[in-house]
Amino acid sequence: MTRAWSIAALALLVAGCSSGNNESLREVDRLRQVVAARVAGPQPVPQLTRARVDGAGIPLMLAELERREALASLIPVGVNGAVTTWTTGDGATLALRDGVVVASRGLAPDLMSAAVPSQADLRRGGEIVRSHYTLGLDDVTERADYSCTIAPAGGEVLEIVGRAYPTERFRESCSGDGRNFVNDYWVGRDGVMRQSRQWLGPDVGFLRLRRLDG
Amino acid sequence: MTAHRSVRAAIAGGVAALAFAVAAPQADAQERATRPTLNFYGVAGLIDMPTGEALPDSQFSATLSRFAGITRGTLSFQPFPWLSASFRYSGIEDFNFGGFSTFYDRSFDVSARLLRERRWWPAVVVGLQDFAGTGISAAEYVVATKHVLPDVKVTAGLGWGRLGSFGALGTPFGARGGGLAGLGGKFEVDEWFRGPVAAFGGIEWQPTERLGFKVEYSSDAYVDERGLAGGRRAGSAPIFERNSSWNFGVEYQVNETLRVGGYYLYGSELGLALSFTADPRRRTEAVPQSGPGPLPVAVRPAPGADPAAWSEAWVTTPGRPEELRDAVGAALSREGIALTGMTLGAKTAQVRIENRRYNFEPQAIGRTARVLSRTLPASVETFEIVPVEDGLTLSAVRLRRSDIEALEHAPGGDATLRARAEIGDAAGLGPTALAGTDPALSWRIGPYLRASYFDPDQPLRLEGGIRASGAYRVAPGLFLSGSLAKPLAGNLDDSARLSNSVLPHVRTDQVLFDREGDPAIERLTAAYYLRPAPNVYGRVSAGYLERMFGGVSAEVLWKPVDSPLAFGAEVNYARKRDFDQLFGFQSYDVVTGHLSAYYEFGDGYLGQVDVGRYLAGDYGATFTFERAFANGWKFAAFATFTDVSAAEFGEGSFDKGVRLEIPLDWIAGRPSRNSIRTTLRPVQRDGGARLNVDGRLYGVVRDYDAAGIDDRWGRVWR
Repeated sequence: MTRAWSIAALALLVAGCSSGNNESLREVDRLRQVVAARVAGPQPVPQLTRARVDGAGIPLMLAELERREALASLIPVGVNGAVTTWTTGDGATLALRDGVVVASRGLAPDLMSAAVPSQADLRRGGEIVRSHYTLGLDDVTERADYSCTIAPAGGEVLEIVGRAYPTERFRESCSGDGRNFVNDYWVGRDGVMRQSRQWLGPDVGFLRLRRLDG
Repeated sequence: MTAHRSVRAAIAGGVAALAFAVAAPQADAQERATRPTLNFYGVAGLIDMPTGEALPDSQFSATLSRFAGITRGTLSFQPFPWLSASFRYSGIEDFNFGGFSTFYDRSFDVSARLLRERRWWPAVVVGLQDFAGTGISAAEYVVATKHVLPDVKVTAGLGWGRLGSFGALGTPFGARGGGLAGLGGKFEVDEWFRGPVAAFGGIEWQPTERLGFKVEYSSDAYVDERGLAGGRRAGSAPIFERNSSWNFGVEYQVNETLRVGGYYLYGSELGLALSFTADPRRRTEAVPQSGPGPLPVAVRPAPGADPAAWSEAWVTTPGRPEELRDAVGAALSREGIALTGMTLGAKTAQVRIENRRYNFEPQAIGRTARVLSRTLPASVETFEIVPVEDGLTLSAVRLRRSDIEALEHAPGGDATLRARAEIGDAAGLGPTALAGTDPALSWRIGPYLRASYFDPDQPLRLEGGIRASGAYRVAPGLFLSGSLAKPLAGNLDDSARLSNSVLPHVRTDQVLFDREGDPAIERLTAAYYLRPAPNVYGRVSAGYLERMFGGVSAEVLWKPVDSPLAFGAEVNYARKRDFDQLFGFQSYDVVTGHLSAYYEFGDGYLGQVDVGRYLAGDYGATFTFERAFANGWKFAAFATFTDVSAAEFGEGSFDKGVRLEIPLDWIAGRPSRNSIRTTLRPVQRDGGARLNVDGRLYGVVRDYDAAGIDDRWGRVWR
């Protein structure tokens, strides 16, 4: 309680007050949220049940950043051609083409854009070139190229929130830019990417995605 | 005797080590070579001695070191890969000199890399220490450093001045004048590399990434500090015993930025050092740059699939353009962007925006394009986005909506979008058909903090208080604004150092202003900004322009949107304000003004020359050199030479200093346009002083010219 008060006092001290358009007030508001979140510590994840997922009535995805142990649920906010943009509650977004990540916003450092395998490439197998575009030194766009080999890794039945999904698994083994990584994809019979583990870059590391609805 | 022997031993050791290096196979020494670390003077070095290494390009560091009551704080920056520059503030306790118990001194260093380290060659640096101050730390050196093993470096050098004061080998280039260099600030070129020369050197071993060991042989006798004969305080009590020339240290790299060290110096003293280093170009991992992502682009249906959506009838529907304007304004405001005007046609939309959130202008442009794609009818194909600041239309960025739709997720789509975008001058656009949604009045009440540095009685003085400020837009480009401050606490007004200047007291009455300005009207002005012609920007301000002066200021700037060269002219009539900073004026008035030339050399290097008449009525020129990074970090050094003599000017001889600007988003990890700005002058005198007018044009215009936008274009899709 005292902590919350001191944060409020700090926020007031830094901000003062101002007319609506002043950005510094919003900055302090964000700062306050960040501090409050740190004080509160990690929140327990609400128990996911199939009833809740089905009850939501919208597409739902669960994302987990392995390195940061961060978990978030996402919903779609836009479609541009084959790419669907998904957003978290706090405005971080992921853009997926056939379930493969082509961009992130709010993950720091973000994948600004990417050339990635399509689902047809996954099924076909073989060699592809994957390119990641990021904002590098002094915020200049940088490209990293990886040579990847795609191979099927057999069938697997996934259990996601109380429902079983028969899937085909594909592995994409990449090397380049002095690094090696392996992405895994589990594609359902309906062509929906049910689950994946994808590498977004040296700082962010691996992202796990699970499609909950359907 | 002993001294000479140890010098030879050190040199012999160094030579032996170099010979060993020559013999040792070291194919990948370059790749695994350890990075330079900093010494007690905050420059690449061992403990008290420099090394022959250049710091990494653009590295910025702040170092604090202390031993024997000698504290040194140094800011260093590497403006070029081959050049280092440092500004230092040091205090020597119990020095009892010049009427001060603790002697404070400010000094500048520069050093240049002569040779890069190669397989058979050491890196070599020539340096000037305290080359324009009172000269109490003055030294010159040539020093070489070579990796003999990937984690072991050997350094050997020759020093003059302070670094030639112990174990002199001879006086190759003639005698050096003695004593403090008068008022300081002069370049005593004829003293450089004069006087006795002595050898120094040492070894640095970094067995792990974090741990480092250093041993050095110092050629600094600390003549003044020990009150030795021939020094400035000969016969005074020594502030420490120098029992040995050997110094030892152990250092630990705590994280990417912080390095700490503990030392045993001169056989008698323990020392401590802290250094913070950062590459402004690289965001630290501790501060991830995030902030919410943008809403995605909305793609229009194909005309065949939904012909109604492509109808142009909305243009003539009464009230519809206003509805759209309101929707755009509301959506932009959620992104921290103000809509200041809009013209809607069936095929083209022009929006004028004021970016209030993003440190990167293209980010504001990209977010605006996304908002427009989500808001405007399908028939609008061209988006003309005009960034505005202070009512000035700064450039016109023309984007095709089809490109925005097609390139949102294209690999490397930012570069393609830039190739297809047109960025042009935004002069002569005229008023927009629809007014903006941005409120005309803005205000703020909040705390403030002011600081004064380098007062010999109290090196840092602070004042905190509350400030109310506001701005009212009377018409596009015409603003009334003001700022009122009420000090609440602090010691800024405790200073007893009244001006001793023989010039008109245009800046040195600061203490009187601080004492009496409670409350103070910091500014109260009317300002008009205009675009009289293509490539031309204008400003007229009148009122209480700054804390010390009021008057009228007019400025014109010629700056083509794609030109690295710009010219400006400014003329002001200024009258000194009453110390209470209310409405009254004193009798001193002056006509002051400058002709300015600005040139962007590329890669963020900017040169500026201002020639004209200064506040004290003196004539002269100011030279500024700046390195700016796309993310908003700026480092600048400036010097002003006027017809005021060094004696009239007083301490420091001429006006000079460094400016540092750190963007807030770099520290906070959230989008922000704010930054922390500091100007450090060794001393503020009356010569070479300029009026502090708000809203000078070049700074406003520059970020939005083609180069300013291109440097940051990668952020357009952020």
